[in-house]
Amino acid sequence: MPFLEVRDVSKKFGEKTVLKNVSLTVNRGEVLAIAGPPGSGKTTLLKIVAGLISPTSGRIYLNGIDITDVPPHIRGFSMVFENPPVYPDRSGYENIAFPLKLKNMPEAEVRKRVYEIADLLGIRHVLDRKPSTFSGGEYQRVALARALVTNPAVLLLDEPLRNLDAKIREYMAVWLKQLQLKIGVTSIYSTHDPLEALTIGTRVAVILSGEIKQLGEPLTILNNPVNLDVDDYVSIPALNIFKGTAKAFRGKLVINIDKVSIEKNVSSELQFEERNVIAAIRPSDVSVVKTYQSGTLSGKVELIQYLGANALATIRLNDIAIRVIIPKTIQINEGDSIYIVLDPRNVRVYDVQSKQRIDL
Amino acid sequence: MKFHGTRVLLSALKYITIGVFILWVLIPVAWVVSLAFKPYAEWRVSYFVPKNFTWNNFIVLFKSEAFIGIMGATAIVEPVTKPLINSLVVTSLSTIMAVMIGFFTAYGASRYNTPGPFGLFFTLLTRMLPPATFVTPIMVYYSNLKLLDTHFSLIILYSAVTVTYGIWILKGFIDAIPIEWEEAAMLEGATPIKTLFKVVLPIARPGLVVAGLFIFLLTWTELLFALVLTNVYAVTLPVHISKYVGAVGQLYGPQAALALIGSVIPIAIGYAIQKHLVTGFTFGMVRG
Repeated sequence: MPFLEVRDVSKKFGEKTVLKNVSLTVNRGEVLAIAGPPGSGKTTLLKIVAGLISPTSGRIYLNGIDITDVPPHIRGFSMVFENPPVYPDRSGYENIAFPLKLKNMPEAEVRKRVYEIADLLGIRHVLDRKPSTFSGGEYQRVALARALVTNPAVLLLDEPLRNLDAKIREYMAVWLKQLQLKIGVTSIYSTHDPLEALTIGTRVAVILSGEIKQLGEPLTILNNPVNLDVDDYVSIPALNIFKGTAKAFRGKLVINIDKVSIEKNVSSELQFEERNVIAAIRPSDVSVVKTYQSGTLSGKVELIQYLGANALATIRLNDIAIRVIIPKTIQINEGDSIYIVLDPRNVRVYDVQSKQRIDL
Repeated sequence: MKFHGTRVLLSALKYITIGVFILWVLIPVAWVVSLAFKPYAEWRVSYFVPKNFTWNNFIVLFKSEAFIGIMGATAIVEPVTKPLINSLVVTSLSTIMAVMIGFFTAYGASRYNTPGPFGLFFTLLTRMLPPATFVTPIMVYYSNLKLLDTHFSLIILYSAVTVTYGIWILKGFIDAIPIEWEEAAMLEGATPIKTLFKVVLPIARPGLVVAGLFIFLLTWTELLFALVLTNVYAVTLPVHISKYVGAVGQLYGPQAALALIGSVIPIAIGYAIQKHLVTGFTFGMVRG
């Protein structure tokens, strides 16, 4: 039995549907990352799980018991918000001790617990200081300490690292992952950054416009998106999307984009006549060579953007343009002729209407 | 060089303007201070430093019978003790009421939108009319209710006309507190009331202090309502000052002395609470 289950939850604010039939499960001790762009309903979903918002329909189960109508403080969950609840008028210690004092815990016990959690999170030095003196990382860790000090059944993290700058965010994401492995608290972690979700999540749920589009292990989401929107969302830089036609017969899938024809091996059960499809390939899955080899496609470099570790080149092939990640070792200039190597296995094909994957 | 000359001129102009403004503000204050320590004979002379320094103007404030002998002027006025206490009581209580009611209203407005946008705007109505337009009807009301010349009537009226400042000042502070800070407390077992008192109230404390100080100053110096609605028993300081008039005209000395006492109290209060204005005034900060 899953530890926490969200079953068929929908939420409407007036006419606006924010969540549509969301179902997911969280196993004991795992981190379920909920990834989705801003406005996709992540915060609403977490608040529904926390009990701060009640769903329009659907139920929430904890250990098989329906907790949909249980008030938030009885559920025993903790939540770290994007705007972390660290009160500016009191010290780090008072902030972490706040939930314990609400429960009228004896002072000695409060002190013991606060120091324990502060040591675990490495923030003992901020206990006597006011939040205005904290660094961004310390601020987040105090918020996390406050959430963890009550030993929550489920820890809900709503974009906790959003306000940190990129380098600290990367460090904190790894730190959080290690901390979670150490203490094993069941967590739901929401983020708008797919890479952060893939780093932190034991499993990842991709939520787009209020719907869970795919739920699975990070590598599955990354390598086998079931839906064009999911593929587009997890692809950084943005996906190359082409309109084309395809037909499948005897284990072969032939994709025609403009004047390019790509042949891909698929399961022999997949059979269909020539039809319109959407083909997608990630810029990082395409490579280039400077001299012609058999099977490469000739093109012209139109634009180069530098991304730091490598460059993103837009290459024109007849009527289509494709963006390709180029390693630093290959020197190219705008206007150069170049040859593209396309691995058919990396080309994914989606239905035009439903946007569902059809080449699996 | 020409550019340099223009800059010097502009900067000179700036300092002259500031200087004139400072003099404009400070000369009356200096005049009051000087007058408070001058004997009767020097009240109408032009120099600032008293030739015969005296405390008599202050001593006289606390007496009534001895008054005539010292001043050589004919006026019998009650000692200042009672108006001073009246002012302190009326101003403090009405300020506390206005701030507390303002806080709860502002919280409702900020979180639950209770009075609605029009309702909130409506509270400003008490400040849109000049007080003189409604002081007479209020006097009639109070007269019928037998409330004239009581502390209670002043406290109620002052709270009612200043509460709108409390609402508007505090709403800004409460709006700045992220709702998540309250939700976190609710998750941890705080009831809405407990959240209000243990989370919002302490964080909004600088706002309470600002609103309180502002309302205190307004009420402390209010003359019109007090003049019309009080007579003997509930007279406040501003009204009392106006009573130092003798056969020889205004008794400037005691008036200045009283003005000085009246100014020292708000200054002392402002000084005492200034640390609350600064501390804890960092909202929603997260730095990378």
